[in-house]
Amino acid sequence: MRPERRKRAAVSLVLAALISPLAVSPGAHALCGDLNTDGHVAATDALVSLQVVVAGGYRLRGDVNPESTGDGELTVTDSLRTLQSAVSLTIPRCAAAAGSLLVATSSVSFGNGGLTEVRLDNFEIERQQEGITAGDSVLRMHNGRAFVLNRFAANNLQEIDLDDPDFAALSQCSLGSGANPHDVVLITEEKGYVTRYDKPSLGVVDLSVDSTCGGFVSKLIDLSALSDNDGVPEMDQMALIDGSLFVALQRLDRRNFFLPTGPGTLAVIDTVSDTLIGEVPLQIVNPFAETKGLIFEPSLGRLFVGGPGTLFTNLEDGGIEAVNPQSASSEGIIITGAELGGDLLDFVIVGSTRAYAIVSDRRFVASLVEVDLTTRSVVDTLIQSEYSISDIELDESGILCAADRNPLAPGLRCFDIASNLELTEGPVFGGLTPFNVIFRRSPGSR
Amino acid sequence: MTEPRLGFSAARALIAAVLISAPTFAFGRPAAATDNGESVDVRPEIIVSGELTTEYESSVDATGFTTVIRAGEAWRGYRTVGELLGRSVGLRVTNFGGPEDLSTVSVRGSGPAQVRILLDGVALTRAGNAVVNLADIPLDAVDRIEIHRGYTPVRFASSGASSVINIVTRQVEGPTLSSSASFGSFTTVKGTLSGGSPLTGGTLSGVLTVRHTDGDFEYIDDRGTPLNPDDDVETKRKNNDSSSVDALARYVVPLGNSRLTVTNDVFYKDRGTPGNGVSQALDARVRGLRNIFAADWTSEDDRYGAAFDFSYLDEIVEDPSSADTQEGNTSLGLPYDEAHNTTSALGIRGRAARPLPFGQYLEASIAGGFERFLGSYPKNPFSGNDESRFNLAVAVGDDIYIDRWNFTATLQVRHESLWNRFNSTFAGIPVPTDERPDNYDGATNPRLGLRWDPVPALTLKGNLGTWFRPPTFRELFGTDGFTAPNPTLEPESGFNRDVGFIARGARLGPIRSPVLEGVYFDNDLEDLILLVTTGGNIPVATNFSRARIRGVELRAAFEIGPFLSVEGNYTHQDGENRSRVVELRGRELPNLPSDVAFARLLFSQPSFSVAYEFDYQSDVFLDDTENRERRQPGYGTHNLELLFALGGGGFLFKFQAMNLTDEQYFDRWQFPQPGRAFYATLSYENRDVAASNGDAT
Repeated sequence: MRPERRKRAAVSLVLAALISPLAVSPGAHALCGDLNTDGHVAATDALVSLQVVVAGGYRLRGDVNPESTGDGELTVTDSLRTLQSAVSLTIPRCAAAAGSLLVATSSVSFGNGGLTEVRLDNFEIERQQEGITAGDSVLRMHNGRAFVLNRFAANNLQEIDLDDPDFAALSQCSLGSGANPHDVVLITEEKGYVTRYDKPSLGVVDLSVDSTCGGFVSKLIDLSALSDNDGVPEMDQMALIDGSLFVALQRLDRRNFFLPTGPGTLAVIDTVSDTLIGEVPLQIVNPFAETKGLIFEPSLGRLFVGGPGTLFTNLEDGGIEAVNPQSASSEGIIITGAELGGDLLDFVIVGSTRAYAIVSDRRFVASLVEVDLTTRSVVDTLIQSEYSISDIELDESGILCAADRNPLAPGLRCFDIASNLELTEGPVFGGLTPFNVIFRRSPGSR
Repeated sequence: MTEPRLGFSAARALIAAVLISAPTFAFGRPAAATDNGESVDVRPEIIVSGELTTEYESSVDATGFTTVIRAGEAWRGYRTVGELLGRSVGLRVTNFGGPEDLSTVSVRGSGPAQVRILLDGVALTRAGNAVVNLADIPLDAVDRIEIHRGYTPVRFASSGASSVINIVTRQVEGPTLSSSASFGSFTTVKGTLSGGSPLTGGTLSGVLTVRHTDGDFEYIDDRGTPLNPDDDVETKRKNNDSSSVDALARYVVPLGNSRLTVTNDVFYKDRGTPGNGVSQALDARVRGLRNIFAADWTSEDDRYGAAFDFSYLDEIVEDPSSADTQEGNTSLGLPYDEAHNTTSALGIRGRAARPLPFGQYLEASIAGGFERFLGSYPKNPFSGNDESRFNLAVAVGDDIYIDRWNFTATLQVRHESLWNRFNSTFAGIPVPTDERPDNYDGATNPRLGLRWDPVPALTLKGNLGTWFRPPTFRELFGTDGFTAPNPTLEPESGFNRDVGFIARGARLGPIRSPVLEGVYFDNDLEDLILLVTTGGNIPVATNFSRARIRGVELRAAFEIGPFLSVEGNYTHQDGENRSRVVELRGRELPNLPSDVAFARLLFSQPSFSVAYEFDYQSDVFLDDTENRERRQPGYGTHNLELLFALGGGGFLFKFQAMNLTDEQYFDRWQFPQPGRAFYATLSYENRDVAASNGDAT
């Protein structure tokens, strides 16, 4: 860590304590060893670890001793290991860390898709298959199960057998003509919800149906009441929080080049009655993040919604907005497009004070940047490309991976966010261009 | 790549074919050829009128490999231009549905935009959209289709393409009247009325064609789940109806030792556009009006010519987004409900040719034009697109004929300049004047052609030359709402090479009038335009791709006895993607089946004929990364045609059974093709009048 970053980390610690809404506990994007969840691994984290040990408690992300990772106990050795990481400016691995990366690949023309699995210890391709998914597809995981949403013109949900070396399909069922599914959330192993981007209604799916797929879409929940005048709300990503399903609606005018008609909103669905029970009006327009669901930090109790706003012509709108799902209200934009330097295309939150984002400028150059949420500014640029960087994802061990769709040098590129240095020697490429990245974790996580 | 590569073995096969056939044919009687180099018909006169024939050479290009399809009798059955082109050697027609739906043609593996399609010499290929829909060309008004594979004759100054297809409409020379009515599967109806009459020293003639089909054929819908056959259902094509009217009027008047031809062709269409077979758009339609006016002056000896033409195209694309609000319906996903695309184009052409000393024949042509494309969106708040192009082209060629050796060398050079102007919006957003991406494209392309007739029955030919295809407005300026502009985009270009032979004879045992053609071609394509996604997640056209396509074209025709005639062709192509795009490099080119064959057997009697046709195409990747799940399996289709003369009054009845074995297959982007279909046509021609006036058909 450079001196200025070290100083900024110290400041952010104080800020994190002061601005309570952003003071996080371990969540989907908290780092191993980062027990005060400020987005950095520092000596204070070792101190917190020691306090937990003394109190006889346990923190998954504090369980970093490589000799006993995941043993369910937090010991002094784990605290010492955290201290070692803080001193050496590294991020330790813990039981929450992933073992591999699953990559949904899509050809440059989006005419062909596939899957690739990449080992995280050496970034070598473990296996890959082409032609097993549609060209426009994204990947989601639920309790260790992998699902592919085959989107525009394919309109289906496909479950992948991860135990099969060729990623065989366990099922593949249509979501209806012209549905264009964008996200799936399962509330049980048999019941799920699918956003149908080109339709006014959210699909409730029954995963227990047989291969004829009869009754697969068991119910439709009409969201047209929240749409703009064209009747289609452009439902995109979702998050399930305490039985309520939050669905981001872009509200674009499909009669006018899909331009935003105003701020987006979050529809709130009661998953018991499968009814629309409310909405959370957003401040940003065009909340859109195709490669991941809505980001929810459980310990914060906050949803983070991002989007580019009006593409190309207004680089200052859009950004990241925090939402309190309990009160069903927005807590405002935590960083704008103007502060990011362009259209926000994807992001990850790291603890309470950091984020990484893909930002596109006026010349359509995409940059992968580190963002300081406390100063609301870009502090580092990891890579830039004239071509699409379609997805970034972060693992608890501090590995940040980006799907670089540069057609002349495509591949997966991974970085250590302790130093922002690239871990991969070059783009990891298996045959088709990466589009969507997901860390393969143990069952129980999304 | 799993397919065997064509390389030395293919060349060897071709050479072997020459060695085997040439001696045999060399002793036959040469086919008749006219002094002025008119097209040579090596086949005997068809006994029963109503058939189509194919020729092997064209008078306008001595060294090039050409196909001339005589289609003047096509109105006596139910056919389309796409069908005729699709069974021609070296050509591949992509069908986005049935015979009345969008179809495009590529030649020797080129992209459809690299084929310049002309209607009586007037370009149908436009700057707004370089791809011509073959379904917009009414076959019943066509006399012949000239296909110049790989090269452009000098008389077409404006090239802009790898190959040229010139569709020549029917020209009635005297008083005649003919009509036909067709009925068939999928509620298909077609009616044609044509006639001609002397008028004030000239001849006025016209052809009126009306076509309609519901296009509601059945197909297997895999519901977009190719990995799950258990949910497949049989369904009907919806919103696939098509209606069109074409009216061709022509007045030909002699002017001393020359003649003036004034032609006006107006075409109107109204078609449903359901999209692919998985998600059918029930409300999307396209309506269009095209009017082409041309005045063409030609000297009697055809050495001099001048023409003026004006084209007007108005197309309305409807894709109501309200369809998305209905279950079981969908839009095509276009970013507007309605678009009006209008093109106005003016063109002038001139050509001259004269013999020079030492066996030279010098030919030159010039063409200039201006076209303007206006795109508007009536239901949107902004004005739309406004782009224009001015082009000027010059071509000069010199055929050097060495009489002593029967040898011809052709040298050609062609230069074309295009100025493109952008005064428009980008994705609906006005672009400031100082940022408008105007563009200039230009290229000079040479060609060398050789021809040697060592004996009258054998012709050896070879060509090499370059070409270019200028980008379309859409590629340059990104005005479709989906793509970003790239005014620095370079034209596509290529280097074509071919060598081959034509052997012909009069009799070989029971075989009469045999003819055999074999060609090996080897083409390099450079700067191919490819859409890639920018950092702003919007596609932009780039010149990232390259390719090499090699292949063999073989075709033959002969007769056995007086009643049976056989023709067939076979094309083998091997395309290698040499793109700079990493994932494409080394892969097979899409939409390029390695083996395509066509055969037709015709048994003719004075009062009836029976024809059997067989089409074969090997399996092919339809996408550019060899998607095996969407690979089109190889297939063969069988057609049968029965033609009867009804009495002696000029009535004919034709029955056609297409795709007899009900082969089910998809073409690009999961567009289903119709299965078995039947058509019946009753036609009438006032033969006495036609014969007495030397009807050109």
